[in-house]
Parts: sequence; structure tokens; C-alpha cells
Amino acid sequence: MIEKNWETMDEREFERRLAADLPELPPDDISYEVTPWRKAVNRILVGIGLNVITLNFLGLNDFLPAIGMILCLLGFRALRRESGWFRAGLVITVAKTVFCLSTLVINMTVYREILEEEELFYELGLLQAALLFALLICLWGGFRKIQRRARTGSGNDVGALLLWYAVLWLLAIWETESMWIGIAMIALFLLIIRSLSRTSHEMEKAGYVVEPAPVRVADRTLAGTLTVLVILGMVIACLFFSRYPMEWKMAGENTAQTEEIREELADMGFPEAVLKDLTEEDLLACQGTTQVLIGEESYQYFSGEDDETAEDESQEMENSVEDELTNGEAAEAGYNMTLTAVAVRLADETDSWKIFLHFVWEENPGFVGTESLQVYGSWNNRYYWGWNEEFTGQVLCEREGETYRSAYHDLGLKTTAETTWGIWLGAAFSFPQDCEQARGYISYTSYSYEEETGWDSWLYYTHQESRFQYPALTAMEHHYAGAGSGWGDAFETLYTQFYFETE
Amino acid sequence: MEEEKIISLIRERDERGAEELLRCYGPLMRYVIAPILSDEHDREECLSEAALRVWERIGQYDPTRGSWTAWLTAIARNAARNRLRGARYTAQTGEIPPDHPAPGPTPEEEMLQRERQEELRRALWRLRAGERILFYRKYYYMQTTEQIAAELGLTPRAVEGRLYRIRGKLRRFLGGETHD
Repeated sequence: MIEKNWETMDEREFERRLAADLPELPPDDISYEVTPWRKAVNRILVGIGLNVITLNFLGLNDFLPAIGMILCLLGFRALRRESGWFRAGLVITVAKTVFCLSTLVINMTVYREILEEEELFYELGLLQAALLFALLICLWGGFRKIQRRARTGSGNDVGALLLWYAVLWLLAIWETESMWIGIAMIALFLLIIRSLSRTSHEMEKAGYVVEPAPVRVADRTLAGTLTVLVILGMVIACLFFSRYPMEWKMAGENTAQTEEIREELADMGFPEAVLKDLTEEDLLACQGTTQVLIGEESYQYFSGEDDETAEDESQEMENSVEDELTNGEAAEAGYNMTLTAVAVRLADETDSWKIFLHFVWEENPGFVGTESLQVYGSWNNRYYWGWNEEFTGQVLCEREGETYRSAYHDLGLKTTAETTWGIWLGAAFSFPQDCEQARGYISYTSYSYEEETGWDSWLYYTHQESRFQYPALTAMEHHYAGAGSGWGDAFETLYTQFYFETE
Repeated sequence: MEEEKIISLIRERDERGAEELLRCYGPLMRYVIAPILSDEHDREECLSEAALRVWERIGQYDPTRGSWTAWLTAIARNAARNRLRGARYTAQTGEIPPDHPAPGPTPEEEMLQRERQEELRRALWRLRAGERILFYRKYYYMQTTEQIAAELGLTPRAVEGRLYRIRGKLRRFLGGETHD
């Protein structure tokens, strides 16, 4: 005789039959998984593990801790009613989560560079390490309380984890570079993994006394919301905060005095294309000049390809230039940047030369992010040349038929301590997206100790070609860090050497 | 103490085995009993009964059929359900006469139940792992929606919704007719 059909059975009867027909013995995987503690505790342990491990490539040193903190947040949230230790852990986790997620967003902006220069990153890093240590203490205290309540275990494994982390932290602070320290750190890292695994195992017996707290927002919703907010933040940061804030103002008219100086310089051969971009201050400094030298113009080409291809194509294009090109001809010939150097002998007692290093984009630069100029000047030949460490410059562009000018966002000296390359003069700036004839210059004053008749200046221009990089390096950082730093090499650098010889 | 050691002590009728059983696995057994029996006194008495059953039936434990944890879970669950059933029966009919026969299935009913269990077991394995765990929590461990939600990081409403979908799947998997 046929009984009721499963599909037509009413809901209550169906549920009763389901409960009645379950096998006596639950499957092993079910009995393993059905616990009040496993999900929460494993999330915390994995989360802490992701914060202890540091993998410095592809931005994992930021992404993994962020994921780890979200996991810890979910874990501590579930255990918050168990004890004050877990509540304290939750508070610390919230603070660290905010920091980790904020870091991801800030790293998409130019402000990351500012924070690094202020050495805030180092201090924040120490704070983060201290917070993680405090988190481990909270975890240890919470586990001890659970195990005491269940009258099992000793909590020693989390204590061991604390010890390993403290040692790791001290080694990192000492910044020792011994091979043995490196080996010890790897061993400590493996011991940490072992401790985490044993801690999870310790909870097998004690964890059944845990009563997770109810939540109003499901774990997946919370994690998903945080993820969406971070991604949104990173996109907004990338779109709107990946350029330097510049103070563009309309260029004013020349004064009569500077106009007169301009004419004098032009008569002495100073290129008009550079002359019209000088500040009033620089023009006044050139008053009474006795000699003007012009470095050979360099036509450059940003290919948008990788560094090797760009270098090959640039070299190929330079070789094809036989005659000097005007700005318009350079553009027609396919060059998109012209670099010019001019040296002016100042009318003072020190026999100084004021060097102007000028660049102009022959076409719209395309994507505009951060740009930088770096000058390796004659001052590095310090046996023969000195300088008064005064430097000037500005950037200009055309918008809607008007000329705008701005000071550099940053103009100053950089010392590459790691090499013997000496002192660089660097300028950081950004152009507006919709500008034309983007250009600018840097100027410095140098004087000779000896009867020197020649000197050179190297000019490097680093252009950002893409916004897709993490962390968001600036052009200046890229130059000093070397190509390929971070995720996505978004820069291209051109350079040229100008050589001057007096008679 | 390790699981094998405890099992060995119980088999050898060493009382230390019983002590360690309660010390190491008492929390687990309480966890299984708690959703079924609401009274704290009943829970403690049930725990004692379950521990006694483990002591008496240790010979029935077969590691090839399931893990020690699964076996303890089954014993604790059955002890709690029996206590609950006994309490309900007493509440309905008064005190049970000593010569009253215990209601049990006939051999034919047992065979049919085994067939249904096998059918349900096959249907459950067609569910995703997370769905299966949720199902067992509700219908085997008899946990409340609120407890399940708190332990899985869900809202009670989400748990109800998932259980509804799981029941719908099982209806489709089980589909067809049953024979008496």
C-alpha cells in the first residue's frame, strides 16, 4: 500500500518524518563541525595568522592583514559575551580593522607618500604591532577562562604564541640582517603556525561551554559591506586623490623691468620658448648677465610601453634627428617632449652660473597622475663645483586659451643614502587633465672652485602612465625606489645629459 | 587525556576512565543535551545517565562505523530524547505502571524505517556541506533557530529561510512514493 507522497506531505508531517528517519549515528564530518566555538575561534586564529605573516609582494602585506582583521572581527563579535577578554579583543579588533582598511584606501592616494615622509608610518607600524600583541593577550585570557570553566587544558599554546610573537617583534625592531636571524624568524614563523593549530585542537574539548552571541547583521553581510566600502574607497581615492593638489593661477603680465631683462636675454640667444616661462624672480636674478650658453635640445618620446621598449624606441627616434626642431616640428616628428638647458653667467662676484632645465610636452600628456623632475647637477662634482642650494622653478600650462602657472608641489633635495650617487634636486607636480602645452623648469645656481670650463647636468623626467598600481607610488618615489616597485609598474622615465663648456 | 586512553580505561572498567570521560567530554555531552532538555536539573541527571550508558555499552562502540565524538553525541542525544519522551508520557498519562510494555517498532516497521533512513541519507548527501550541517543542527541536534543563528553568524530569519530551501530540496530529492 502506498503511503503519503513526500511532495504532497504537509510541512509539519514532513519535518516530523525527517527527524524520525535520521540515522542514529551522525556522520563524522557533522559531529566534527557542529560546535559552538569552531567557526569563531578558527576565524580568530586564521585572522591573527594573516597578520603575523608578512609577504611583501603584490600588496599582500596590506591585503592579508585586512582580511585577517575582518575574520578576527567576526570571531570576536561572536564571543563578546563570553568574557571581558573577548570584549576587549573586539574593541582592539575594531580599531585595527579601521586602520587596515584605511591603509588600503590611503595607499591609493598621494597622501601615502606624505605619511611616509613624516615617518608616521613607522610609528603607526609600532602601534599596530603593539595592538596585535594586546590582541594575543586578550585571546590568551579568553581561552584560559573558557578552559577553566570547562575544567580542561592549560592555555599554554596561546601563551607560547605570545612569546613567539614578542621575539619576532623584537627581531624586527632590531632590524638585524644576519642570516641566522633570518633562519630563526622562519623557524619562529613555523612555530607560530604550530601554536595556532594546537590552540584550535585545545578547544576541541573546552569549546563546548562557549555560547556565541546573537548578531543583528549576518557575518557575510558585515564582511561583504566592509569589502564593498573598501573597494569603493579605493576607487574614489584612485580617481580623485591620486594627483598632487596644485595651486594653479592665471599668469600675470610682465613688468617693464622684467620685460627689459627678457629682451636682453633674448638678444644673447636665450631660447624664447624657455624665456617666456621664467618667473619674475628668476628674470631679475639674470639681470646684467654676461653670457648665455645653450645645451643641445633633447627630443624625447614616451612610448607608453615598458622601460626597455621605451628606451629602444627613444634611442631610435633620437638618431633620426639631424636638425634642430621647432616645437611644432618635434610633435610632427612623433616626439612628445622637448628638454632644453640654458646656462646664464650671473653678474656677481662669485662667477656663478644659473642653470635652467626646461621641459615641454609637445602634446597632451594623456593620463595625468604624478610627475617628477630630478636633476643630478654639477654640485655632485664637489671638488670643482659648489652651489648655494637655492633652487627655483614652476610649471605652466594652457587651458581654454589662458596661461596658468603653479609652484611645484614639492621642490627640494633628495639624498640617496644607499648609493654613492649623491644629491638630487627633485620636483614633484601634477598637471590638470584638460591642459595643453604642459611645461615647466627647474633652476639652480652653481659656481666653480677652479678654472673649470665645463660641467654637466643630468635631467630625468618620470611620467605616470596609468593609475592602476598598488600601492600608489608617486613619480618621485618611483624614481628613487627603482622601476618595478609595487603592483603594476605605471611609470616611464626619460633622461638626458646636458653638457656646458665655457670658453 | 587522549581519546584512545579513555576508551581503553573504560573497556578495562577502570573508574579513571569514567572520570576522564566526564572531564574531557562532559562539555560536549552537555552541549548536545541542552537544546533538548530545558531544565538544568534534568540536564545534569541526563548527563549522568548518558555517561552510564557509555560505560555499559562501550563494547558496542565500533570505530569503523563512526568516530568517538559521533558515538558520544548519539548516546547523549538519545538519552535526552528518551528523558523528554518519558516526561511527556508521564505528563499525559500519569505515572507509568511497572508492567506496562515499552512501545517499540515491529520488525516490519524496523525494516521500513531502515529503508527510509537510507533514502534520507542518500538525499542528505546531495545537499551542500553547509546545508547538511544546518539540517543536522535543526533536526538531529534539535537546536533552536536562535542557537543555530548565533553559532553560524546568521540572523534567525536567514536560518529559517535556509531551512525552508533545504526542506524544498529534500522534497524534490526524496520525491515519489513510500510503501507501507
